[in-house]
Amino acid sequence: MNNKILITIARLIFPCIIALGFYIQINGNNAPGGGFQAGVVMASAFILICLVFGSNFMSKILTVYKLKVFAASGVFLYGATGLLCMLFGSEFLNYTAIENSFFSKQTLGIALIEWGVGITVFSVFTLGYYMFSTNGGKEKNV
Amino acid sequence: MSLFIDVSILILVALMAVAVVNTKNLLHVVIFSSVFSLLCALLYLLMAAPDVALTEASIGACVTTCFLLSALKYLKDIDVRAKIDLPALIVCSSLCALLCYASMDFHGYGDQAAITNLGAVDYYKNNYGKDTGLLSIVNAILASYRGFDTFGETLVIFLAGMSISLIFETKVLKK
Repeated sequence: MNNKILITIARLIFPCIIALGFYIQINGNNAPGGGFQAGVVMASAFILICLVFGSNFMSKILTVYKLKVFAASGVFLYGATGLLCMLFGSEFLNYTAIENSFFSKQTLGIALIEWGVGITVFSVFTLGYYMFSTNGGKEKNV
Repeated sequence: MSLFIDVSILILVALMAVAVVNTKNLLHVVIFSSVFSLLCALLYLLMAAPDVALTEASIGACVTTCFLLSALKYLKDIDVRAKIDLPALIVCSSLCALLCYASMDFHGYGDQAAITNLGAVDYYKNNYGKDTGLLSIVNAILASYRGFDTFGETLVIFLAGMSISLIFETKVLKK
């Protein structure tokens, strides 16, 4: 791809989308949005990269293996937060157990599980698009 | 004014739905359905549901369109316009009439006496700040009261991603 307009706009807009994704993720406790929406927004940034620069470039930044590891680690983070609550002597996913002086009530637990959801959704959507557009990594120059 | 905006968006949504059925080209179908999703997102926003609007705009209008566009590469130019089929037309219009009849039993928008607004909703509304310390009631319900369900959903999304990669990476067995 050597379309200058596309490449310039993609370079301009990519950090903005990522910043919006982080904003939705971090501010999810107090504003509309949350893990799922943030994950999709960030995945759309990488889909843009895939569309404009091609899958060859994409496979240099994020390989399929890395995306699979991310997807699994998101689910793991969610489950581990639940087990952490059990470790502190409460029920599974009862976030009140891990409150401290910085994070009142359940805010820490909910922020952690939202990160888990966000990471999983982001990597699954990016992986899905990458698989669809390259036919499972067989066609590299798309 | 707000009624005017609501009605005009609803008319546009209906027009888009007709356009999706009536176009020949698959690319146009994808674009029309993307616009359909965007209008739906606008409608959700007007109904004071920003979370759903955000999801619809990003999933329906952005990601799904990209998926469908990449799937279009594998399809040849085929005429996808629906032909008028009399028995199917009768079945569809009677179903439409049934649904319209059933919709008369709906509660009004934001009705407190509706069956979905009874039960646990009052407890959530009165206690979510005290229980979780969040300002967003949607996230309080999703992550705290319904934590198990969200865990299951995350697991489902993870399994969906793994299944996609399994389907695409498997080599076709030769005889």
